[in-house]
Amino acid sequence: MTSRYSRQELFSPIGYEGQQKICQKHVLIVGAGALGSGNAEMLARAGVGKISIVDRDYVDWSNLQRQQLYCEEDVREHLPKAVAAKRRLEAINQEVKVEAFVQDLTPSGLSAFQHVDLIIDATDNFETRFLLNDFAVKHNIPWIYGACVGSYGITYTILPHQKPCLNCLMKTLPLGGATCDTSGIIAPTVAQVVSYQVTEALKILVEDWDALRNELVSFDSWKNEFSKINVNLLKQDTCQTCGANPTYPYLSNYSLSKVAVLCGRNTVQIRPAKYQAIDVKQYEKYLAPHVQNIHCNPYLLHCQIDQYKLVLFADGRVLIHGTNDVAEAKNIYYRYFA
Amino acid sequence: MFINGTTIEIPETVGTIQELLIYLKLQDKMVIVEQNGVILQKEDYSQVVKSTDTIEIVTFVGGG
Ligand SMILES: [Zn+2]
Repeated sequence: MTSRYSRQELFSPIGYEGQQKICQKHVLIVGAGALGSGNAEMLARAGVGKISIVDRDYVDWSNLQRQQLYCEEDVREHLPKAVAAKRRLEAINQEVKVEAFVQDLTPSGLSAFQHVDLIIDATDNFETRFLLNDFAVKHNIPWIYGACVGSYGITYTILPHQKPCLNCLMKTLPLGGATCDTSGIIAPTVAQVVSYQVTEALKILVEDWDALRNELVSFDSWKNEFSKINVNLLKQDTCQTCGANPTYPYLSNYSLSKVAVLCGRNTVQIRPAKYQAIDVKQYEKYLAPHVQNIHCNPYLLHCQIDQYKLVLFADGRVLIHGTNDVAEAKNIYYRYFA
Repeated sequence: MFINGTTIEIPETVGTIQELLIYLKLQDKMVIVEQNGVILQKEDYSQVVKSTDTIEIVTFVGGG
């Protein structure tokens, strides 16, 4: 398979040597939604040695418009995104080792990734991003922030200790509401952010540090706006994450919320107080007499109770679709899973 | 005013960066503002803006 990467090797900033580096690198992609799909596919085609994907969700019809790794069959099978992504990526390039993790990102989960060469941010919330930022800075791993909503996208490459970190730029975690994006998204916005992220990723993987972009970039391709800001002066010496005396506040005080309202999705996620892997098949037998449309695969169980749709994952989490009300969701959770 | 690469008419009542953010309905968003090539700290938002200024505003969003 010597010709597989020939076009990339002909591109002189990468070359044969760069390709050898790419093939030996390990990239962690956090989130397998729209940005995660796009990043993962391009990096797999580029021949990255190993790709680890962490995502807590499963594939839904509303994902297919922009999440390029998934197809209708994945929706019908109710596959977790990380699992469906692994399947597709291995079909695209079997030379790449792909690891899938169906779970929330936590400090203990992250500890397995201390030696990755790069982290791609493809999450949909700042709670996870600040955790990621602490972890990446602590272990000196470059990471690439990317986000989008509507026709607006933003991206920034963080080289720990050399450039301001996310904590320097934002100082505090924005209040929940500020990050709840309900205004939809078009696929080209995703592709554009992905292009920026993967280009920076390739520079990092071939260790062409001088080629990295220095600015925070944002654009609105429907309004034809584009903006670039050099944020180097925002690096804070007193930063709790990348300053002189770091405390890594998000990594050390991380409290995994037991109950989370999933923004803009009319869904509540509830997790057991203590992590415990469960056998969803067993629950299928137990729940079947009480619920409708039950469906089970090795990763999760799906069913309908009254107006609610429930999803039980093998890591013990339950998604309750059809409500934003925590009390209402807890009520159902305790009735069937406690 | 030249904002994010586009010329935008801003009413004369907008006199400061903070007022500009309110006018653009960005006051509740996480933003970074650059005025004539100089990046501003939050404390600088009372700074005067002029119609000849070049402003870059980047908004942090969460979706992905
Ligand atoms: Zn910092």
